[in-house]
Amino acid sequence: MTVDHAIMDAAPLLPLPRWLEGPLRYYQSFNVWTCYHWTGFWRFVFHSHYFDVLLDECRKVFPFGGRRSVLDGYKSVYTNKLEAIYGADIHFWYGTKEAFVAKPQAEHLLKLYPSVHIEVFPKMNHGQMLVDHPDEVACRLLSIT
Amino acid sequence: MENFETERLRFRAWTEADAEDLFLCASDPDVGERAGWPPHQTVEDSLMVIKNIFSNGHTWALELKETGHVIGCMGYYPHGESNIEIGEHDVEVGYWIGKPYWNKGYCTEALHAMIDYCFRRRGYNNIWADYFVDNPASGRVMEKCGFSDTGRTNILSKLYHSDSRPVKIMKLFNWYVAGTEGKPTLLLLPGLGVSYQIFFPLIELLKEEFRIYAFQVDGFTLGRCTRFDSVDGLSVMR
Repeated sequence: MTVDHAIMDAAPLLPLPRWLEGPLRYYQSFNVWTCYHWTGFWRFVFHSHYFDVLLDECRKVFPFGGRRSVLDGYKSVYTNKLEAIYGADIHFWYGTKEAFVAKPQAEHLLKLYPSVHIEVFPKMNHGQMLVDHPDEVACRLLSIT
Repeated sequence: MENFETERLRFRAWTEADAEDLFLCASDPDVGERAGWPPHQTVEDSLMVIKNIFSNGHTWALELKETGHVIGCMGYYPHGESNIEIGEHDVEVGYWIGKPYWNKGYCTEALHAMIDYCFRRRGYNNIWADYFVDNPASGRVMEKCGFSDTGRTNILSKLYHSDSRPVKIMKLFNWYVAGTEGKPTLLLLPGLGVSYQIFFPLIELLKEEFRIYAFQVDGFTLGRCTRFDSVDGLSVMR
């Protein structure tokens, strides 16, 4: 398979510090559990940073999401490191509301691949551009290809 | 148990009245051995199988609409009941068809419907299946329905005459295809914990411009053995 253009939506490209990896995996496992079971005040406390569509997606994809799966899934995310990239036309998108996580990833990508196109969407959270403005995403995709 | 149907077949629960039809198909040694069970010797054998094995809520009788006779069987085995090591939200499918109905496309038709049922109605993430290496016809049915070879084989010693006959393990990803053939390919991969359905509004806007494949690839949905760097089902795109 040959990829001509790739868009990474705030993809995780750098590993977390080792000491943080374990606690965050267990936190995420707990967080996933709360997606199903918590409503009202506690939902607000834990999931106010999710927009509703994303929270619904979490419930839809793994209604029986087991703890092991969640821990392994996040291990893969938190320990992943992009070592090299070449050949394709690469775009990295992220929103300002997720910049504290996504900006270091973008900077790492820029070092590896200086011709990467980085775009930052004001007032957007993770994946929000796709959900709230699919028409805008479609236009950008067509202009890229 | 939910009944559903295809153009020529009806999926319905087994009843004791089907024992005669089952015996007609299952007494043929060519059928049972290919599926891993011994041929039925009497109608009573068939009745016992209906009562003890097929009444599990996820095994259907395949009834030929034209005649009303049962011509085969299809079902699924969730995590914990499957012979294969599958993810906790995956499923294995199994099937057989009576010999007089071979090479008529019934099996492929039924398996397509079963896949649709497992993905769309039951929400399983991936479907697994296996076939004895000396029964390549069953493998061809799986390939026609989009399964790809995992490269893995297994010996299922619990099954009939299976000690020296390995099975090949096949897998079908939960993926969605839309758009126009011949157009450039757009591959959409959602992030951790998100279903490909999040792309549906975008797919609607771009389906005239691209051939679109949306995959479910993340570690949650693929089960505990899968990592981000092993998208091993991409061969289904061939």
